Amino acid sequence: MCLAIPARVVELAADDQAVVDLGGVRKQISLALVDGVVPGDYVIVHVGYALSRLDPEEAEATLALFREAGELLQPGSAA
Amino acid sequence: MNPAGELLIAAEWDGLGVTRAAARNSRPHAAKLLIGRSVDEALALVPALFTLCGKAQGLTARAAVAAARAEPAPDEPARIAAERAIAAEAAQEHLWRLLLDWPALFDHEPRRARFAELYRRLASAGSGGAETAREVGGQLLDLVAAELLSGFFTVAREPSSLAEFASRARRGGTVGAALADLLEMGTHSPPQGMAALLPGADAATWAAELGGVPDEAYCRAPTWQGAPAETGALARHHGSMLVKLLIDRGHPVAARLFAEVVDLSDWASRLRHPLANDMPPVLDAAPLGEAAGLARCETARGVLIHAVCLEGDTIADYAIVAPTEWNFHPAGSFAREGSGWQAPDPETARRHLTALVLGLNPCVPFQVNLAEAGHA
Repeated sequence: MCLAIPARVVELAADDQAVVDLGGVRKQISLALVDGVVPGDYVIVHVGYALSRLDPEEAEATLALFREAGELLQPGSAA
Repeated sequence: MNPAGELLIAAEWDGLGVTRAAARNSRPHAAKLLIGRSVDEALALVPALFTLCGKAQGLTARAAVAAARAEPAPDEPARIAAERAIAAEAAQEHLWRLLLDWPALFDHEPRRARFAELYRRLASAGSGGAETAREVGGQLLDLVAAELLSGFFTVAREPSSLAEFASRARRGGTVGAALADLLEMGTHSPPQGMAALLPGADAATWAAELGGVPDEAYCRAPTWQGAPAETGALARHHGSMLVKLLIDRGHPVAARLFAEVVDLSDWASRLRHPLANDMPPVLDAAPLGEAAGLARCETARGVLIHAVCLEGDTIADYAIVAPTEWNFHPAGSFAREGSGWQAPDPETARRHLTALVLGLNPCVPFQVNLAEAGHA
């Protein structure tokens, strides 16, 4: 049940690989489980794989929600 | 710390074995994000909040809200569609472990191409028609018999000893090879015994057990009748003859791996024949007091509970009790089995700990940090 934080696709690479940016941190992931991803798209990533593709509006809304809720989501913080 | 949540395992090896192991679970309490929102807004948000099990989370939330509103149960086509979606998602989760994580742990080549192929087929089966679901379910059953545990499908009778079990496992299949490697690492009987296994209770029983929307402390360390319990494949299949053999002979981690394959077969059957009479419902719901409802859903990792209290069309309170919190409870299965066993070298210790974590199947990424006593 880890949170689905969208990562932005920065560039595509060979063999279904891509580089994504998640909060300023870049990492290489596999696109083997999703279709039609292009740079600028947002994806949900889990342990090295993109699981789904989001449209930019949906991704921005989710990122804004997590930014607003950052404090609230820390373990042990008050409800 | 990973803001999406992670599990950090800190363990100590003293030259003979692992003397201490603790799990720190930093998974955020996402149910807080739903409180104060309108019901429609919250229901739209839930599937997008979670990386894994988004479909199960979304359907469970809808069922909990429907129970709080005293709405009638969904009709049969809706229940069939829900079961297929949940089964397809659960099978995807199991394939991740069985085709990628378990082989890699024992230095066998992860089956990335096969995983991607089946993962995609399951994605279409979860939202497609009956024929697609039946076909993919059949492919999964073939996978188990021909590629994961083929050594068990060439002889009709059950193995009569652990040695024969290991020999069958080694004879074929990627999971079989990992299972045999696991058995060769030796037995382990936790000094305090294994944790209790969570029984297969329906939503009404859960509503009676909880008595209301549980608080955050409960969600972080849930208990059943006052005690921690394990949920997941082992809890569902501990009565299966070969799973029981492994438990009885001191191989609880191997039992979890074997149970995961049995569980994958069950999800494949649900894809082929949803709402079968001989299987418990995958999702149900019950009232939880005035304007409150609870829904229970089986997922790959175990039981998922959503509980909600409404004030008109607003979410007044919300709780999610997820499988990871059961299995990594401070006094639960990991705590009992993480230490107190022999390991001749740090690599064996790390591998055993990782196998235990994989068997308990957390829904967040994990890291095992092993310190050598005197060198910490």
